[in-house]
Amino acid sequence: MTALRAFFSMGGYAAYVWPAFATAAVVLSVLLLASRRRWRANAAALASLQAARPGRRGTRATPGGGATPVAASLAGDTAPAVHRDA
Amino acid sequence: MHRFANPARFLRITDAVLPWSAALTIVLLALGLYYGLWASPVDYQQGATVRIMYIHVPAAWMGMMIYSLMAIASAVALIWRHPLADLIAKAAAPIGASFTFICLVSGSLWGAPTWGTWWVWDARLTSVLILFFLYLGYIAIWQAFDDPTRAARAAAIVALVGFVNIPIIKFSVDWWNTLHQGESLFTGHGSEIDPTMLRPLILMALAFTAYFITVLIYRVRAEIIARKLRVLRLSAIEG
Amino acid sequence: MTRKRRRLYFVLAGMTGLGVATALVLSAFRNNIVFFYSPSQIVAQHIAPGERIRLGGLVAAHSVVHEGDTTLFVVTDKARSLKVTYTGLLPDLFREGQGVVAEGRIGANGVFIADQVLAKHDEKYMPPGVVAALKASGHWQEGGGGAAPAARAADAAAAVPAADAAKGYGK
Repeated sequence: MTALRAFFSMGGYAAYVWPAFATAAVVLSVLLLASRRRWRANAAALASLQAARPGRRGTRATPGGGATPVAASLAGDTAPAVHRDA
Repeated sequence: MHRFANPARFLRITDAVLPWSAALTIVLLALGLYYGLWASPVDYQQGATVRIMYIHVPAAWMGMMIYSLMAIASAVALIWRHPLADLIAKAAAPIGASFTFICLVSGSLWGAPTWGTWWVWDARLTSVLILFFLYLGYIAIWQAFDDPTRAARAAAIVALVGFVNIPIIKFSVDWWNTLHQGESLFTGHGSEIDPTMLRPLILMALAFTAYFITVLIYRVRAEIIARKLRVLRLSAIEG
Repeated sequence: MTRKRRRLYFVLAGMTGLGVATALVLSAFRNNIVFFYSPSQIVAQHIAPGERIRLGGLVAAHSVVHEGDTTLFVVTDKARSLKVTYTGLLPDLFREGQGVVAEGRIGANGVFIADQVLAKHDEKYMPPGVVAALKASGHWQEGGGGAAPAARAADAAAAVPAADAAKGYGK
């Protein structure tokens, strides 16, 4: 109990040590979540766009559970049709 | 076809790397925090404030390392027109800016009790603040152009010009007398950090590196898909 | 191929030019980027009483005297030293034998009147047990501390005026 209290008091420097670690935790967590959300959103947008043009690639970009973004982006990259459209 | 061949290979490789880098981040972070906050001694001079070092110093390394990587990627993009290099530099910038921000905030929290001040305009602190603004400027340039090709070229030039700041940061404590102390780890006569304190420092640096690789993969993938979306939407408009 | 080669040379030339320009600018400003002056520099550069400067060096051993809120101590760079008076709270790392940066001005009596005192800590990090062991074995050096041969903090403070004198600074 006293060991735990000593841990949280950081030898009297709690007001400096904990905010430093908290800042790092908050900044890195927000960046990680924001980056992953954007990736998933882009992948979903691509999948729906490709599904809307069934003649070309609707069958290959079928959603498949948790791995959807990977599968969709991979499928999109290996297909030359996208590039020829440009 | 050539322009899409490389991203496809990138996606295949990162598909294999991603679970490992994510797992490594968690394991290394757990170990680093355990040793950094608990299983390491306090400093003979500064007591428990030394624990801020395990955030501050790895964050500073990351800030400089990521900027150097961006400069290399920008040079590759400018010279060889590699289709992925621009995207890697663009994707890395917010991560580097975040680490530099963490470095500045944790340094301020460390300086307040030990030095007796939150901030001074000495050469080391000022050059790191400039690094932070270089990151913000680089990110802003990508936003400022409508044409991604022109944005990429302007951003690459800014990244290369700003690279002169990196050696200035590194050697600022040797070239000028600063309030910030000198180099502890690569002194020429060995490390000035006790092994019990070096362990959490190295662990946290490796954890940050694994985190960087993980988030970079997410961000580059998002950029690749965004570029493809743009192409698709343009072609849809053209009919 | 030739276009790539040309772009490569263009980038290399640009970076070289930029590096040289930066090096020139920095060496031109070398004197203005100093954060503090050592006692020897203050003497060499004839800094007048009343001028606001920062004084840096080591707190001389056995020199700290507390008189109420006011602290008297001596800042030294091993070559020269200066008496300092300061009223207020001292940072946690203010110790005899440790680096310090005091901001203020030299009074009429030659004593440096500081209105802010910052502690400069050295680049050594070690647990108290290791320090006790080093002291017991006689490998401890006060001021720089540790097993390293030279007291680096003292060296850093002393080396600056020596280098400046050699280059003819302070003319």
